[in-house]
Amino acid sequence: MSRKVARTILLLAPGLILIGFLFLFPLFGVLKLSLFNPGFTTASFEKLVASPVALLVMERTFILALTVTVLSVVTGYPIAYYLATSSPRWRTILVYLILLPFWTSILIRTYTWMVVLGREGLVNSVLQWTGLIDGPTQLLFTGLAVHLAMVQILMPIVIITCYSTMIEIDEGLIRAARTLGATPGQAFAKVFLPLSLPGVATGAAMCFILSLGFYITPALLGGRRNVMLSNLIDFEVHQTLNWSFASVLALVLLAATLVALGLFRLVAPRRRDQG
Amino acid sequence: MMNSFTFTRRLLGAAAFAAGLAGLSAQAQTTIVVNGSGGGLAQVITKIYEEPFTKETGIKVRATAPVSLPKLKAMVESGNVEWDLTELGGDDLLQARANGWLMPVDWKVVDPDNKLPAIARLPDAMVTATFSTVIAYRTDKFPAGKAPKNWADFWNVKEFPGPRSLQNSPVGNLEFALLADGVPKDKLYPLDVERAFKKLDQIKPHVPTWWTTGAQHVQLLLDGEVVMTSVWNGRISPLRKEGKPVALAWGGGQLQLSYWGLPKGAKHPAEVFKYMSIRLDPAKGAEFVNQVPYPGFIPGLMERLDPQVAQDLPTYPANVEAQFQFDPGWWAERRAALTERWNAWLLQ
Amino acid sequence: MRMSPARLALTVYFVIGVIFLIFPLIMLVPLSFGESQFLQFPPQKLSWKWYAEFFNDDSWLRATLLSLRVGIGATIISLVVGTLAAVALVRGQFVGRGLLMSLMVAPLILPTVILALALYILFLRWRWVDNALALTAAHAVIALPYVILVVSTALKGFDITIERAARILGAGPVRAFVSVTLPYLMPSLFAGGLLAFFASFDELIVTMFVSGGLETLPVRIWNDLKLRLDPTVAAVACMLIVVSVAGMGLAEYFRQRNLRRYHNS
Repeated sequence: MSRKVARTILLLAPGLILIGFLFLFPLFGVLKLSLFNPGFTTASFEKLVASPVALLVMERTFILALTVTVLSVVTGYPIAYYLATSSPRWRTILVYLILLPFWTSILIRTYTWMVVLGREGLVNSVLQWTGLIDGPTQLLFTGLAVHLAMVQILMPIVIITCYSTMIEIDEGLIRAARTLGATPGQAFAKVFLPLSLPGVATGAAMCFILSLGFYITPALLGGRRNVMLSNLIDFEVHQTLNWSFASVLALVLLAATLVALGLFRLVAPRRRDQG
Repeated sequence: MMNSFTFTRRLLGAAAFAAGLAGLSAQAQTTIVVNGSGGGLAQVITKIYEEPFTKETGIKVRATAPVSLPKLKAMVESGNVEWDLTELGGDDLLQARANGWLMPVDWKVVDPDNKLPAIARLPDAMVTATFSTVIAYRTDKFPAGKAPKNWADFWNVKEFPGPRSLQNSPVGNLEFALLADGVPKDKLYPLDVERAFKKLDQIKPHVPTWWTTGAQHVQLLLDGEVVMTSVWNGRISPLRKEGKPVALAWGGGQLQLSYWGLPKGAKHPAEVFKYMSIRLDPAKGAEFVNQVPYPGFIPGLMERLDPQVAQDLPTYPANVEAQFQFDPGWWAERRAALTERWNAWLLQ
Repeated sequence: MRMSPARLALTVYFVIGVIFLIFPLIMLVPLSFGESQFLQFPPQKLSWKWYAEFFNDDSWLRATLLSLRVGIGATIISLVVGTLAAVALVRGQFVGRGLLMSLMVAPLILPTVILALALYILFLRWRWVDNALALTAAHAVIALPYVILVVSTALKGFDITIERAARILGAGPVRAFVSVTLPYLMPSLFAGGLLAFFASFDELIVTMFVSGGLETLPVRIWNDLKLRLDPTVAAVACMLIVVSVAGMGLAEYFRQRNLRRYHNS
């Protein structure tokens, strides 16, 4: 064994120990728990297929993640476009403005929505003050609250990934299209939009994968219908103590994440190696 | 009260002296680990029960928190049992018992004179406290005379408008629904599950959130997110003392018990049984209830209490009359399936 | 220059978007300085009461202290472990390099609740629940990807011939790395460290599962939120926003500066 190989192993060892003991090994434990109780059994997987709750929660999780992703991309894209096409002097400040909420924890951003949407909260008091509604309306603990907060939390990711692709687009191409007689709209649709799609795909994939695992926001803002897989896992761990079923649900979530990641790798054009 | 307290203390002191002489060498170093819910309650327990116990017997008590079934499960299953005694709610007891996580209580040591009523003496647990799930409401929304009195009023959204909250659990709520639907409280069990869910369908649209933790319901009420909710009785008394606009209705309350049990494989059962027996002292019990309104079934407790305090207790005769006696036995085998159905129902 | 109508519409949209993103955070300021438990509209008397509540409440201070301890511990572990691994991953030539890289940054993508469940089951068996050291180690796993990503990006841009020159001049591999590469990496290490610290400092889900009775700051906030809408949380949140925006902004600044530096070279 050459010294170089030895050195590489030595450098990697602490990382391998950390990841091995506190990441791979515990995940393996989850896999084991889902299949052994204590002997080999597929009971928990059978329960998954037979449980209306688990199936409904899986469906809702998927739909919510998809909706939030579409909303974030559709509303975030124009913001990224504006950033990319604004003057370089302003651009840095504007980008930091978008990043500002991104730097605060999800817990706190969720909390701010509790303050804004509560029955005695800002939106309700403003609506009542202006006379638009008579009594307070239910905003907190609804699907609307979950959607609003999740889009607000995830949109900066979409904006930043779209933006970083957009600023790489050669302006000359747009100008060329214009000189060839394309209207600004056509130039955007035929040239700019297709070129920005890799950024959109990356942003959407990240948004979707992160949405799948959301826990805090639906737990604090959602009503009885807004239960996501993470919340159900928590319930099975702490309330029903059915850890083997919790493990099966965790595997489902893991599989969904990996499939989403794989699909994205498959569809997305191979990106140039950054460096 | 002072007199009786001093007297009891003297008596206990004498007894402890004798016990101390006998067991000094053997028990000097023993520490038992008692798991409870922590917080303010733990401080009260330390002062009233643990410290005197250590002084009298030389057995040290280490308090841990919180009550956690997952931890109990892991301890018993791995054989690595840290707790010698743990607090358990009614639900917890059922699950722990069903899974065989508890060991039997030696009542010959804990209560040799049969002082406790049968309801508090279970083969594998001892009732340490009682509490009740009752209706709490905002007095500024429902002034005296127009206040809800029972579950039928809770379900009556026309006369008592506004959002409500209930616990996110079928246990108790099925009973409440049946009471609201007119089932007499002595004919509740066996529960008519279909009828209960049908009745729950009516209230579902008026419940924006289903509470999960002990103090959450109180805050929903204080924040104005709901105008009435099911609550644990003990959480409301301190708020009333602070002058908050909240009140309780005992009608159809769910009288519940909380327990002490020994995890299977606990290491110091003999010492723990000794510790459990001090829960039978009515003077200490009165001191405890004066600070925390969760009385146990200690004979002679009510007589030692200020009537003002007593009437806010779940075991106060008039309140006992208004509540129903919760039957954990009925729930024992049905809980898992009904929880699944409850979750499915909530998601619809 | 006059704006075209389309551009004007886009500008208006942009402003609305930014308000949507930032407004809820800004709302906390008047709430945290208000007298009342609820947001008064229009705002009334100013008060420091909720901030005082934080500094007078032992449980808040203990939670903050624990978060700092765990955060600093996790930062140190992940910084050391991550930097070493990044060097091997960027410079080594071995089979499965890409796979190993993916594995080490996987905690970033994996839904947190899965790791929380996995660690919880394990920690219960090992009796590691309730243990600040175990919590620190768990946080190090969560913080590790940030260090690896930032440091390996910086390393890729580093011109290795400089280090080689040092070797030719007689320095050993460790000395060459420490005296040539490390100073170059400093801004990236700083940025990666800050990101790692905040990954731990803000972590809630894993902590909630494995911490037992221990309360970190996010767990303390969570417990409070589950109970009430107390403006003390608003005061804490305001302070946290200031701290994390400053910290993350600094990290971003150093990361960018380092990127620019080797892009130019």
